[in-house]
Amino acid sequence: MNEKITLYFAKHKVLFILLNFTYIIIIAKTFQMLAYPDADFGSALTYDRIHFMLFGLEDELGGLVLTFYLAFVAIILSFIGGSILGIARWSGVKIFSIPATMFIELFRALPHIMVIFWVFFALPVFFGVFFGIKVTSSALTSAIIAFTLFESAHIAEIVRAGLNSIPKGQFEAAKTLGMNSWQVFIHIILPQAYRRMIPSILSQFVSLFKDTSLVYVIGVVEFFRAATIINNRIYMSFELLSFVAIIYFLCAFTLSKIAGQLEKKVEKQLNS
Amino acid sequence: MSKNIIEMKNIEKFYDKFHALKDINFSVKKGEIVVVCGPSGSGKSTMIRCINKLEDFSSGTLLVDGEDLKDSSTNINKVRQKTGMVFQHFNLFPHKTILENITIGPIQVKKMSKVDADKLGMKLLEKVKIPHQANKYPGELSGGQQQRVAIARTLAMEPDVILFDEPTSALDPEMINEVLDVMKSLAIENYTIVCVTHEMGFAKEVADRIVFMADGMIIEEDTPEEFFTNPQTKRAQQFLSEIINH
Repeated sequence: MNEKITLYFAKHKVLFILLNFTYIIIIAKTFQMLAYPDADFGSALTYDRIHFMLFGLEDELGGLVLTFYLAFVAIILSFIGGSILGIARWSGVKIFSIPATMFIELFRALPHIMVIFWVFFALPVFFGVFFGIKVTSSALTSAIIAFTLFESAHIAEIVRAGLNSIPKGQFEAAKTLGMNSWQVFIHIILPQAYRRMIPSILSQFVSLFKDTSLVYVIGVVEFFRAATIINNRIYMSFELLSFVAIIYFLCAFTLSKIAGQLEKKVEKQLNS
Repeated sequence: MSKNIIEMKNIEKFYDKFHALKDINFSVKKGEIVVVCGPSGSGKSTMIRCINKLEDFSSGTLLVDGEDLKDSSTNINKVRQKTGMVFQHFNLFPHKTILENITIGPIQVKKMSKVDADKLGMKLLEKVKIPHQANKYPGELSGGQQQRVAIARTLAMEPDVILFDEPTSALDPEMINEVLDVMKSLAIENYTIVCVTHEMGFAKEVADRIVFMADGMIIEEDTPEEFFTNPQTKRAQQFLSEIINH
């Protein structure tokens, strides 16, 4: 078992380097010496504060874990939503493609932070006025809904591009075997399209991961807001925000490296 | 007289204003091997692609095994099962193994069990002489091997007629013969074949009939002996001299 782990890290050197905590300290020290000699990382980053930034409070999910949770739930929901929208737009069947196109174009044209505000403040009013339903908005639910709305629009475009990239010959070969349109789509087109989409979807996930910091505006105590809460108390913004920057970088960089490796694998298989 | 499996009457086709097929009258009997040749842009591929409705035609009647393709009650998927097609660029499914490429038709369309389909697939792979590649992916095979798999994939549906659309044009010269050999073996086994090709040696050897097209028309239709030794039209004479000089 141990050997397996060593082998895995040997194979994925980048991962190993990034997960090595000593590097965080070295980067921080370099920062300190170059930019701000008076910085005092030691007294700013106590165990309790780091714990709060990474895991939140004991009885309430928060911090970096919540950031990952939010990103993960949002990507799964928007993958489903984006697939439906993308296929609908690609299908060219007007009753599906026109509403899908309108949705996609609308949410691609709106600023993300505005959508987050709108879902938090305006959606409950909207439901109240039009459906007579009284909704109390929870910050986390609003954040998930908002992210699902605009990320679905982005993913839908990736799905559509993936479907468009399948050569005409694939449709023809499948049709000449006597398959109906549904069989052609499910067995031949969609699996190939998804394989081609994996890299783009993963890089969309990385950018979604970074964008989750936006939800601090509606009071979700994710990683970024957790750091600002501490900063409001101790006023050591250089130390705290540098720490936040390093952690964000490490996570996003690792994710995009993993995406890159997957991309190579996919390319190998589709090279024909 | 044996029955016509394909019957085209007065077929016309336009791409916008371009007149691609002009009054095509053409029929194929069961067991017959017809080679369609002619200069590029003459409508050969368009014509055979009309037979399984990969291209629609503008007017005329086209019967496949007695079924009218313009009739709205005709189930095109059923007709396509009877007319297998082999493409210039193979068009194998890159995400499926060689065996899966062959079995997907029988499993999905004919609802054959996976066990039976695998047996059939292996039998066909032996026929095209690459059974040891069954679990590889198309990307790992040479062009000639891929085209042989494409032929096996078509045979798996047991079509009444096999349409070949320039099956050797995308191949490196040294791979052409392995594909032609498989096609010749099909000819011996009494398959009905319509083949668009520039391989005149193949045409001479196995064709029952040569159809020569130019400018969207069939301008000559004859036995290979007659066509190669005594072409009637100027276009055919010119075409043959160009091909043979190569």
